[in-house]
Amino acid sequence: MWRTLGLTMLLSCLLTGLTARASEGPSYIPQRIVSINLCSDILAADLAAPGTLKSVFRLGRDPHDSAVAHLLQDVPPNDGRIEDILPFAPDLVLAHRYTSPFTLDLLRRIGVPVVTVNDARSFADIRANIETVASALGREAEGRALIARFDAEMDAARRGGLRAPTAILYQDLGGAVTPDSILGHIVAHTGFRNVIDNENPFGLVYPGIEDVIAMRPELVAIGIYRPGQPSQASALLQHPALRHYRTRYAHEVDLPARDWNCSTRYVTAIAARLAATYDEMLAWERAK
Amino acid sequence: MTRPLNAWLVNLTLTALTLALLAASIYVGRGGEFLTDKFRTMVEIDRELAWLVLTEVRLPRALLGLLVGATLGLTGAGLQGLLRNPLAEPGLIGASSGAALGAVLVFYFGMAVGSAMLVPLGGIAGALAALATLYLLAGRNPSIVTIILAGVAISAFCGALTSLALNLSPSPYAALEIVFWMLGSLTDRSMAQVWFVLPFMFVGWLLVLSTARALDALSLGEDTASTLGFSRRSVTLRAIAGTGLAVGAAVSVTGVIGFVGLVVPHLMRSLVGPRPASLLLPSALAGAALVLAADLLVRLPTGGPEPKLGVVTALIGAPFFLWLILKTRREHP
Repeated sequence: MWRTLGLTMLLSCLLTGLTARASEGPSYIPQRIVSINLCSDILAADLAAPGTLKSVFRLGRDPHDSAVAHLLQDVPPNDGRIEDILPFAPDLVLAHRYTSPFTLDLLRRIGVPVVTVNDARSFADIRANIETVASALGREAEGRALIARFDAEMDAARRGGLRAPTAILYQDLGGAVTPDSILGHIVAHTGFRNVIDNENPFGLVYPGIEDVIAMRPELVAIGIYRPGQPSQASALLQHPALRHYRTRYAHEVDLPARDWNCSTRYVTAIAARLAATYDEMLAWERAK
Repeated sequence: MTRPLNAWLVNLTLTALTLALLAASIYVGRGGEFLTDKFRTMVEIDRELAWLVLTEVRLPRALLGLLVGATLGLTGAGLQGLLRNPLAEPGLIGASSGAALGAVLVFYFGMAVGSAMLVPLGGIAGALAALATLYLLAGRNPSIVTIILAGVAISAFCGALTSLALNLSPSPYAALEIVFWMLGSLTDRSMAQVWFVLPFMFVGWLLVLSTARALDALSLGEDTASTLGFSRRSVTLRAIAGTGLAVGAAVSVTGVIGFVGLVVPHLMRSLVGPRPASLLLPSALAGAALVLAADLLVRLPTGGPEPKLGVVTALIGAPFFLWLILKTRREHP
């Protein structure tokens, strides 16, 4: 019985996919979009025409993880598995480059178009992801507007001058962002000098607490992920030595993960926070 | 077997070695630099900051290495004496993974009701439950195979439950947290954690040490032991409760550091002879020395995340364990 059901589902998807393309040619506009990854959820929530987004990944609706959770509360969640996706009979699946290749391959085999977004490591990557999804959705104008908004917000957060306070952006796993990562670029963009100067392919290095203190950053920016929920990762940030250093020797600012997850255009909120901190630090120095 | 050395001489040498390694653990930083330049500049710039790093980062790490190593060495020797089995060890027979499970349950799901102080209690309860289960499963006169198989089963079961608990926990980094608990480490612990575990470990050590003479009697057979006035029940209770207290507290701050309790008593046996009572103190000292040395080793590579201490002890311990099994099979086919 299940097998028949599955087969029917596969067939129906195959047919809807085929007919959609047959009737509308190569530039058809998808009407039944399913996103199966947080990063594509965020882009789809911004760009999809009302009513066309049929399902999003469960994290996209979680306000801890997703800057667009409030927009997605009425959209049914999925868990990214093929059985979650097919009942929506999607004519476009949005995923991430690192989504399970088995899932993506199966989708392609049954004729469902798949568009993937990439990890962003630069501001250009953020714009490129917006363009990719906008063009897949046939919403190029909305995409351009979003990019303009992103650029304007980033411009507003630009700081700099002779004085570049040193900073570390420490996430609650004990990872510090390198200059060539999206958060690293934002640190520089908002007028700070990152005390981390080595690079690696992941954009994160893991200095111990002792190393962090020895680098003597003037700003300790903490990337908080789900504050209040116990994890060894966040326990590390409560280490007495680090706490003492932060309160006694450095300025500090919390950067909620919701805004930097997936490195979407919402990182402008991080930039705004860092820019405000930069202004405060300079004002504080002048007052002294 | 070589002639046993003078126990005092062995203990003194081991004490000196442990103290030297303790000092090295405080002075040697990442990358193996002795009193690193970084640290020296820090003293020049800001003494208070240097003092902070010394007392709140390096000292607790060194002290935990000492305490946890001593716990693992001592309880390993105690369990081997109690079970009259050279393969017994807190990690192998499930006490450590039981402790990890208990600590994980309290840490991730019980924080709302209490303080961080409850985490060691969870670890202790888990270790005691695992040891009690092992004792019930293996019966009064366990063979080597029964103990090891029961231990493997308990370890696997506790490990699976720990992973399940972490998967279900609200923690965003479940996979990394599993690594934290399954592969122990001493990095970036604090003095508060040292004070948390110290009383439990101390009581645990005393309980295990109090069994010394009974373990000697036990090595002559259960009947001899009871003739000499030692009650098997009391000895077992003290050894297991002591192990549960000390190992449970250790695992709740460092995660599982395996194989130390296995390797160390064997090394000591060749120095001081097979008598369980004379093994306890040297095993505690050598356990401390081994963990401190292994913890120095993980600091040597620069760049990238620090390797986990549990990886190093397993790399040393697992081949040793294999060799031991082969040797045991040759001696008792």
